[in-house]
Amino acid sequence: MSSSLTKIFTLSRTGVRYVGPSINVLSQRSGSSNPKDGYIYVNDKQISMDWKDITDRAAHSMFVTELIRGFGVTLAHIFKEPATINYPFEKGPLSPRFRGEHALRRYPSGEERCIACKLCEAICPAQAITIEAEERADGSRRTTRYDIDMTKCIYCGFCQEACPVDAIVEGPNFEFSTETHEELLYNKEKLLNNGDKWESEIASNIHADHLYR
Amino acid sequence: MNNFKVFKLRATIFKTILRYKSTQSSAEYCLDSIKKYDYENFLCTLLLQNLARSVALAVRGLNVEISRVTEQVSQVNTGLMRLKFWEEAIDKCYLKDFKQVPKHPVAIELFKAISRTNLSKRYLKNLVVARQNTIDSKHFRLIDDLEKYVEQTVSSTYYLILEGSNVRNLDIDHAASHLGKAQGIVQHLRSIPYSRKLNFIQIPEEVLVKNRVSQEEILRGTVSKALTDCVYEIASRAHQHLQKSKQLQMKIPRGETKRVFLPAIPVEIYLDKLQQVEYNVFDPELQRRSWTLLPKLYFGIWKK
Repeated sequence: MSSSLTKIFTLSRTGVRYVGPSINVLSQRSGSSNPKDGYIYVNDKQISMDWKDITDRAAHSMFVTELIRGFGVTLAHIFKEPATINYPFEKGPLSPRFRGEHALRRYPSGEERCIACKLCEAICPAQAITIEAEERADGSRRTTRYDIDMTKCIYCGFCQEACPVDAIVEGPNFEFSTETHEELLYNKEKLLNNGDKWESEIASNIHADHLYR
Repeated sequence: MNNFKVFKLRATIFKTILRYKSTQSSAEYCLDSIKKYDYENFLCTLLLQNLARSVALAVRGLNVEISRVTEQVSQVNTGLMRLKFWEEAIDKCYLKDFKQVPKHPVAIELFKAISRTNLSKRYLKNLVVARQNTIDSKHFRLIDDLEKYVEQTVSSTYYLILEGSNVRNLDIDHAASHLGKAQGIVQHLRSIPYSRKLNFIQIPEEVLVKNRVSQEEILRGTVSKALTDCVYEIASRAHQHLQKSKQLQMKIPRGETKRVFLPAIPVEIYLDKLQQVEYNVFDPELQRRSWTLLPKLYFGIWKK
């Protein structure tokens, strides 16, 4: 026991020798209490390597004070509110401006909102949107194809900003991971289904007494 | 033969309109959006009658759509694109061909209103153009700029509603102009607490400089004597317009036309409240809906 302690002691002594005079200078400075030439030594003080101090430290860490303190911390954590949530069943708060999975909305009458103006296609910086449009029998212009490549999409939200009829929106859903790449190539049907599924979350409940601009 | 073609075309237009009407969606959509974003004008629109109401619905619905563009977009060009869409939609509504009209409920309502009454395109365009011009500005320089802007955006809606109720009278238009200015200025005062969200300073630079208030103070919502002075100056401008409008309304006979001027009541309520809280626009009392509004509006119909 004592031989090993002496070993540590000698090692630290030789260590000091290797690091050289700089540590000596530092220890001198730290020794003096009032700052000379305006500098204050702020680093950790070098631990004392006296035989007495070493035994004191060893005793201190061996005896129960540390253990008791450790138990105290554990006990305190039992009564603390957990920092985690039970994720798939509980979900964290989301900003109302969160930009998640895309959805195509409908009017309350069931008619789809998109009028195939192609502004979203034009503004998309990742060119993830593809639209083909045709006139319907009643003369209204609608999309026949509305594809979003979700693997290209960078979720910048420009499409929903550009849409003059609020048809394409980035909803609050962020859990749409799939097993294959193909499943992330969304078509119109999938987007409209998303819209139906998330409509209540998307339709925000704002009431204002007046316009702002 | 030609007559028959016209008849057939009319019949198809009528059918398609009927189809949209049967679902009740377009008018209801307009009502909903006005109720959501412009509650006080929604109440006043409900109290209008017949044709005036449906025109007011279309015009106010359009105004809601356009005025919200600026707060919805992060890029100027995106906003301009959306406004361009509405500009083109207005043009298409004047083509007298329902097929051309984009199938947005507001556009459909607007088409109906335009085909029934004689709305001037200039005022509709004004609504869009004013927004296009100010979309990238963060404040107004002069108080007159603010007035000009609200004249274009708010007064135009009154001109259109008056046209919709077949009133063409210089005095009445004059009264509407002043009411629009008063309401527009009040709208700007009311949105001062939201200036950070809107990224827009509602008080003109001229007034701020005169009272030595920094724009930062408004964004941070700090209340100071200098700021209340600014607000007082602008509010008194709104008050002048309101009084002027009231004077001019004296000449208008009681009846349907008078109902167009109902929004003067909420404007007055707000200005009174503002005076009570000593021109502190950040006072939470100002954000609360007054319970007296509904009865006041209702009795306002019969008041002389």
